[in-house]
Amino acid sequence: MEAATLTSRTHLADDPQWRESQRARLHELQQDLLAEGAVAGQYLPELQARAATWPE
Amino acid sequence: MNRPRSRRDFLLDSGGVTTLSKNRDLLLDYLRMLEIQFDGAFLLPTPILGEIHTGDRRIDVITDRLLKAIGGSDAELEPVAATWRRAGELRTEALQHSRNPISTGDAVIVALAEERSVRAGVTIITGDKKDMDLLVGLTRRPNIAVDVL
Repeated sequence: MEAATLTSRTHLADDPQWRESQRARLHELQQDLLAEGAVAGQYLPELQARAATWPE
Repeated sequence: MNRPRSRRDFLLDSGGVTTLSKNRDLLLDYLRMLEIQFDGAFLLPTPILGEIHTGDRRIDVITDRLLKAIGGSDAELEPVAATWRRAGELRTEALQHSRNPISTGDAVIVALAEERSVRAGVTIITGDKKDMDLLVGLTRRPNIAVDVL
């Protein structure tokens, strides 16, 4: 499928303000999870190792 | 000097959402990775909304908070007819290569990944690698990754 034929209604996902807004909400969720006792760092190295293999 | 973060979209299927909701430590680290390493966004096609609640309040309350943070209630992330049509094409082609049923939800996720991959790398967060790999292979897009939780 050619790129030109790929129509999108996902325009919000290309809006920097919307991405920043979601980023803030996800950060707030992180803070809440930490405050509730979630433990950070257990999975991060494995996740980052997998992420390093993802094609750009 | 910090390296610029690469832009990437993360598409969640129902298994991805459920697995993250069941394990708050994993969810926390996934969110941290996204924040530290990427200019990332979580995207969730609306058909998946019908597949992610378990009936277990302890899990569903985390799911609802994740959905609220993603902004799923905005409804703007709903795929258009073109995405559905493409999902149907991918599912039909995938069924020719698989002895097992291919879910419509998986096909919608991959059709949306194909659309988004024109703009940036995409990672599909899933619990079902086999079907996703088959569907992603059919798109022939080189920048779609499948991350199995």
